[in-house]
Amino acid sequence: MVRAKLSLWAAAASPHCARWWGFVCLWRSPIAIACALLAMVFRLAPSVQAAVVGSLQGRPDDIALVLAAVLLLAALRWTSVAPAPVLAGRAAALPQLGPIQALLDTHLELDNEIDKKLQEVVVDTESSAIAIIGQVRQLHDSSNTLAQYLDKTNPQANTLGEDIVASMTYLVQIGAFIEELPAKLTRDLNAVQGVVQELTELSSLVGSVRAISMQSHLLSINAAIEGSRAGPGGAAFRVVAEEMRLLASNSSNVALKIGKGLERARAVVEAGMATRVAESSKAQSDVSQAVVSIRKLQENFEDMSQYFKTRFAVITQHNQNLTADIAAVLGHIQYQDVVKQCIDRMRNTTSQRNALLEEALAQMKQDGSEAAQLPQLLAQILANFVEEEQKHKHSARHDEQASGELKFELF
Amino acid sequence: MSHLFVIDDDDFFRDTLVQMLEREGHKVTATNDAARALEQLDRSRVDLILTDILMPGMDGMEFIMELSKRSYNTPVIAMSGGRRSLTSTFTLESAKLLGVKITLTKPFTLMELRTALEKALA
Repeated sequence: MVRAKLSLWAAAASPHCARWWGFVCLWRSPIAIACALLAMVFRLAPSVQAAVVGSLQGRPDDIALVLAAVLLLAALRWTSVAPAPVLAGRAAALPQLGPIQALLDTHLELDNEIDKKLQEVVVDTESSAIAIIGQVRQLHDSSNTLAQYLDKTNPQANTLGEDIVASMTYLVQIGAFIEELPAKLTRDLNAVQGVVQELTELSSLVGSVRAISMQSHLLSINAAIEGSRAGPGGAAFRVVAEEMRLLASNSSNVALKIGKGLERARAVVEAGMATRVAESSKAQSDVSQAVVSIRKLQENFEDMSQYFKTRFAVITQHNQNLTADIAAVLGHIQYQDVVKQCIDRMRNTTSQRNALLEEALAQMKQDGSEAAQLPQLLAQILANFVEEEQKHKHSARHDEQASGELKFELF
Repeated sequence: MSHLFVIDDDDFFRDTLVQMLEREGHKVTATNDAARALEQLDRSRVDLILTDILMPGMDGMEFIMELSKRSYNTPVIAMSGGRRSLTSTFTLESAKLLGVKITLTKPFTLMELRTALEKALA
């Protein structure tokens, strides 16, 4: 107690705290170390001075000083002031040190390990966050581009497709009709030609009627002559001859009328045929043009089909890239669970340590012992933590994921 | 000497290209059918593929996508001269979006072909 007060006084009197830290360490007294630390704080912060002095006035025993020293050492450790002792060989050195010194060293070491893990967590979280932001931005840009592309092209594609199908159907129907038209016209033409042939034959029959009429006329003349030569007995002949002459005359008139009628009919049919031939020629031309148009439309259809096929191939590839990016983002998000587990392990370790310290302090309050087994117990907690963390090399795995192919893991 | 694979449905163009490539000292395998080309590629290793885009049956875009599905790392040169309303710019830009690094617009000169080969085989 005297030495502690001496350290406090000496530190307060000196502007160089570090020098006093070395001086006190030579004493190898935990109380002296605690006093030196308190002295440093006194030198550095008047407000802390007041607070700690107030605390000491309430509990001016060694335990309070130790607790204050532990807290201050932890604070110094978090600001990277205190050096980290090496874990190897620590257990062997423990018996040679005082229990409180060993306790503080182990405490620092545990804090150092937790600090390293926290730094890893910070790095992992930061890397994941940056990667997620970058990939989500890419996803957003890609999705935006694709959405605009689809908005612009889809209605047009549907309209074009429907128009093409409708036009194709219509033109195919027209093409089939036009294609059949020449054959139909040819059939009509053949029929008309048959009619003309028939009329021509009728014309020849009219000639025959005329010849018969002429022959009947000659016969009637001969009968009249023979009737006159026969005298009164030939009167009957003359009557017959007169009737035959009249019949021949009527036959001739009828044949003449038939002939004129047929001539007119033939003229009409021939005129119609000439018109049909001209129309047929035009129809054939239309058919040729329609065939060209249909072929052109078919080519347009093929081009349009190829156009959309190509577009859809690009979109498919685009979607595959999106899927890969989303999977990568999911991988990074998944990594947050690893961070949570790491923090949980650290919290568990610090809880174990705090429980140990509370138990030891309670025991020291009761029987005044220094709890010699405390450093070993804390060292075991530290060893367990280090061993457990060796199984979780998250940063290395994270780097592999960031640089290489995505690997899913279930936690 | 590299082993090159040419796919083009235009017989005249394909034969001409094969001759040009052979004169450049390469071993060349050629076909007019992309689907058949995939079967052949399964059996033999090639250093570079030169493919037309607009082809009947499996076109060049489908062929390139199939290569990607099968994880072929062989570099590809896409060639196209367009067709009627389909421009070569459209087809070759689409091929680039599928991952093709080098394109040739038909018709191309020997110098253009050499430059493309140097880039692809580098």
